[in-house]
Amino acid sequence: MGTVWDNPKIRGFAFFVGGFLCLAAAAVLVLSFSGKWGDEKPKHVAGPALHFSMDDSADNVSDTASTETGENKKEEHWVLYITGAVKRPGVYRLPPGSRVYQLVDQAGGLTPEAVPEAFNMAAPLADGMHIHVPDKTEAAEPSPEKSFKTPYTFGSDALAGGTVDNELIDINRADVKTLEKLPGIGPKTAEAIIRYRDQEGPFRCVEDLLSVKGIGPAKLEAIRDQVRVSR
Amino acid sequence: MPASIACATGFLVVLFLVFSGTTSPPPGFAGEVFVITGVLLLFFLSSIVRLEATRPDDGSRKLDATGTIVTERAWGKRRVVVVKTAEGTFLCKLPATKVFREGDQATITGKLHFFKPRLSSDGFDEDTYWRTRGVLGVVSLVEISKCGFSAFGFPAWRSFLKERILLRLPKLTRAYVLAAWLGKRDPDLADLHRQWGTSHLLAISGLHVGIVALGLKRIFRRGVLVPSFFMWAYVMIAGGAASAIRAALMFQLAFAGNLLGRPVRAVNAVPAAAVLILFWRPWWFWDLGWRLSVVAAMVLGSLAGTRNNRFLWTAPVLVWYMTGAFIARAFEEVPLVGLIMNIFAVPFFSVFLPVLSVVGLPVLAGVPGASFAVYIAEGMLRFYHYCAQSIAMVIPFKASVEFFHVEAVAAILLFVILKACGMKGWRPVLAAICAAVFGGVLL
Repeated sequence: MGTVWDNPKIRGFAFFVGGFLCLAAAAVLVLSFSGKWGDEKPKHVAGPALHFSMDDSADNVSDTASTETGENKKEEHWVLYITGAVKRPGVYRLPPGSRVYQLVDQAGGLTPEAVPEAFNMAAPLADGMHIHVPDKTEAAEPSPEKSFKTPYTFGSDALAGGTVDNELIDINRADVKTLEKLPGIGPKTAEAIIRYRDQEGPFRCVEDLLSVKGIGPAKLEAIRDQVRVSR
Repeated sequence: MPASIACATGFLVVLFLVFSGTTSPPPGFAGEVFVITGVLLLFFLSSIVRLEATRPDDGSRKLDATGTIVTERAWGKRRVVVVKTAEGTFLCKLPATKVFREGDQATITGKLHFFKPRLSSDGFDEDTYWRTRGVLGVVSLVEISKCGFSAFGFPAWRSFLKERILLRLPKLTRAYVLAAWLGKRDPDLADLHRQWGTSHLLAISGLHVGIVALGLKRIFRRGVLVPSFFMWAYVMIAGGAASAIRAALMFQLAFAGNLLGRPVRAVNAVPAAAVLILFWRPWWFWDLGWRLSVVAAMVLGSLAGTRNNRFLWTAPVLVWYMTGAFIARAFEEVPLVGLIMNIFAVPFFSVFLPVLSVVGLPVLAGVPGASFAVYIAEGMLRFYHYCAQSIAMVIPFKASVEFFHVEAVAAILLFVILKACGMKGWRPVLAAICAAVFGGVLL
């Protein structure tokens, strides 16, 4: 006498139910442990950014600079260069998070020829920056040639919106419309950059853009020369 | 997710696939299930162990080594070279002005870094991308200098062919031949095909390897070793992309099956090849090329493998939708024109790429008067471009990522596979619904 198991339809159905239960168990495991992929502490400490330098046309310069950055981080200070209408122009070391007025103080303060309203004394600095304080002549007749040669010069409109610094767009501060000015960046990618920034914190270097959805190596290289990262 | 849980999840999914596809267990079913699940469990374990293996120190040390440049390519505005040394294979990013050839011997002195871990689940993961290609880390260069040329090996052959192709063939012909023979994409041509939704034609895929394998099988009807040797030589010269290796493994299985008198079906060969690639380097799982290749081959193989091929006409639509789901996640949108273009482009290039290779060979070999045929082919390519551009102008629309649903992709994939396995009635539909729900849970 045949059992229920001998019925091929029932047997086939039982197999399917067994398969379904396996899949359900797999789904329970995924649901129970999802979101825990990144809970473990990272095993690797990220090294210094390879190409943090704004002018990375020469790799060797960039690499040397990146090594220095690593050392500076250990010593917890930024290396900054100030020129123009200050009493003691030169290279200074300041703690991370410093602003322009602190660098001006270090340089002995403004000279009588300086035009304080021509630049933003409250603007945040970043490691390796070059600040040029314009005097009365420069403020009256800004030289485009000079401003392009000194990418961190604070001219009359530099850092006015906190985003554009002599054609360089600060990806840590720029809004959607500013980001859309970059080649290959549409509204969606611009929103993705801002979303990433909000969720993960400020970008540490230009290469971090690779973590943004929609930005691959080709797009990064296309915009690399037009962006900067403020701290 | 802990490794043990990931293994258990994979094991349970395999059991689901086995049981949902079983209507009446054949003799020895339990033993077969035990072997299949056991082998796959070992595969999961080995993959996870290798993926989680820690790398030494914090990933920064001095490197002073000599090696062979095995890959040289554009990387945005720069160029990159992959140098194979006795200490491992490393990546060097160079300014566009630095010129090296594949096959060059180079001395590199610099600081070796491992790639930075990806900060979010989205975006491009440089670490995974290069580790799939066997690269261990990136060298920030102090100095790189050429110290010779290795005249033997695939890199040297690639350099030799590249030089000849660039110097002797007209513009469009050389771009297509470079892509088909060496897997090198001309940026302008790549842009055009991206607009037309036919980028896959420039990647070495099953189409290219299939043409070579079937051509070789026609020439060497009885043997297996000789066609296999030349097929793998082509795959290596073409750069060894995931899609090419997957296709070559499939044809290798087919060759072996023919030899043993056991014909291999695509629906079995594709997953076997996909798993073998992952067993070699588990990082391929995150490679867009591997994913597109496996999904497209699985759909095509399943549709072509059904007893009556009445649903074969749906292949271009299904392949477009299912690969589009992956492309849209990476590039945000997929051109709608690809849906139509592929219907014409795939058959056209299936015929035209071998023709282009045949007429191009004498020119590359320096046969006098042979360039006449190449210029005819160049004219045909220009005409094709004109037609493709016209169609693309008529259909400028693009589908965004919202148009593609992972649940639909999972359901369609399992449905076509189960249908190809000969399943009828409610079973494939119900299994597809289960896959859709699971796909939704997983992602």
